[in-house]
Amino acid sequence: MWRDLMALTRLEVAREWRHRERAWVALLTALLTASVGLIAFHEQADEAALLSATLWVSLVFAASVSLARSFGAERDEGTLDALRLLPYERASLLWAKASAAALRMAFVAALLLPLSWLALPSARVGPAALAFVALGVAGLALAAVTLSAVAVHARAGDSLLPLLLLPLAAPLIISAVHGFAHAVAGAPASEWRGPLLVLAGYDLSLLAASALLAESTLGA
Amino acid sequence: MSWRPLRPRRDVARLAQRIGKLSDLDSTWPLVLRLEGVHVKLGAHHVLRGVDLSVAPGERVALMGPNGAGKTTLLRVAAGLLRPDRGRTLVAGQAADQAAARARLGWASASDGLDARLSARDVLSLWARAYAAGSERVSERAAIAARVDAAAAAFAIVEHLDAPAGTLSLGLQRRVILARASLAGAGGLLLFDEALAGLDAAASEVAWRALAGRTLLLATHDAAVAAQCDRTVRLNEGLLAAEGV
Repeated sequence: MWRDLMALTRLEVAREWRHRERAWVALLTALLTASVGLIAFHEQADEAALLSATLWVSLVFAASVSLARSFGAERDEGTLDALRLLPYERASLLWAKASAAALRMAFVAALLLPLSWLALPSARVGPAALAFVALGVAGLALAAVTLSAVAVHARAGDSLLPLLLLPLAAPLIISAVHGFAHAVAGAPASEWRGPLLVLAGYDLSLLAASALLAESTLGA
Repeated sequence: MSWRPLRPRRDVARLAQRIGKLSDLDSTWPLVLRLEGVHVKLGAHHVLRGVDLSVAPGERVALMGPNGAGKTTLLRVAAGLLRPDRGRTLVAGQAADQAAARARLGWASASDGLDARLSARDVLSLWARAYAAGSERVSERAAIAARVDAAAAAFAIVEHLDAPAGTLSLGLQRRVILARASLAGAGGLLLFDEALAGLDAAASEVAWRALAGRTLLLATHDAAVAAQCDRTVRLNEGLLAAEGV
């Protein structure tokens, strides 16, 4: 299983590199959303909350725009059937795509984070804040790719995905916004440990759910 | 030739494992493909109505019939891409939707495409690695590369291996897709849905030469393609209408 996943992830990362304009589109979407948010709410007193909300809304928006067609693109290129027939566990197909998608979102987050110094000069982007970003980005990518697999055979599935992603990712977004705000504000660990555990639990649940769904969505 | 000393415990354990795997196989083995009473209903339309079909190792079977006869549906059922409402599909004795069955299936369809930015080498390497998974002999990088080179040579695409697929002509892309399917193990089953359509005479000849000795079930409207096969099966309105050699 591990070797299957590595082989598929290698291909997906190669695809991600060859289609790197998709990462730029995601980054521009996130940057524009963040800029609008920061300008519109710049008078907010709670700068940490503003920074956190802006970052996560931008990431969710970028994910829903750029990851919606993970499997839809395969279908349109005529590569989906061949991919489904690879003699690998179908969960590996899903997780490999999610890994490449997480890489794309990590790139967006890495370039968005420096904005925190503009919005909140005293922001502490330490290990706790980075843990929120890592878990949040992984969860968003997995949720979007799993939904893309579910929606690939549905009529207007690609259009439905952004609508489905928000409710599915709600626990992730709420935990990430709360926890990240406390983490960058330098609050004690007791303030952000709870949301971080929720985020980790959410990711693990999603990992299990995607493994269970993979066969029914990508199989016969 | 190099010899290694016998390691009785490990070798006996491996043999037992292999015997265990063989005993899991269905009694219809060694047939490469067996469809039993396959019935598929899509919406209100009965696309396949109790189809029975077998393909023996090394056999080349052409599937013919008018548009809408159920040829593509039959191939999709055989590949495990579509679950029949009734009946069962076995590939080398395994249910078609199992990963072990997929390891013996090569698929090519006229509607298949390639990622325009990936090279033929990227695609063939992934498939060679996938088909080799679990096999110690061919899991090394050099062995995978050798399989890719052999498939590329067989389908005369060696000089196009590193070009992005989007820059290749449709005929060359079709050959890459055929080469990808051919990477399924030597004892595997190749399922072609009009996959040879669009090849010129020379490319067609290259393809048939590369497919020599392979087990093949192909849907076609082309009598010349069917003539290359050992047997022709005719489908009409979801029923096997006739069979000929």
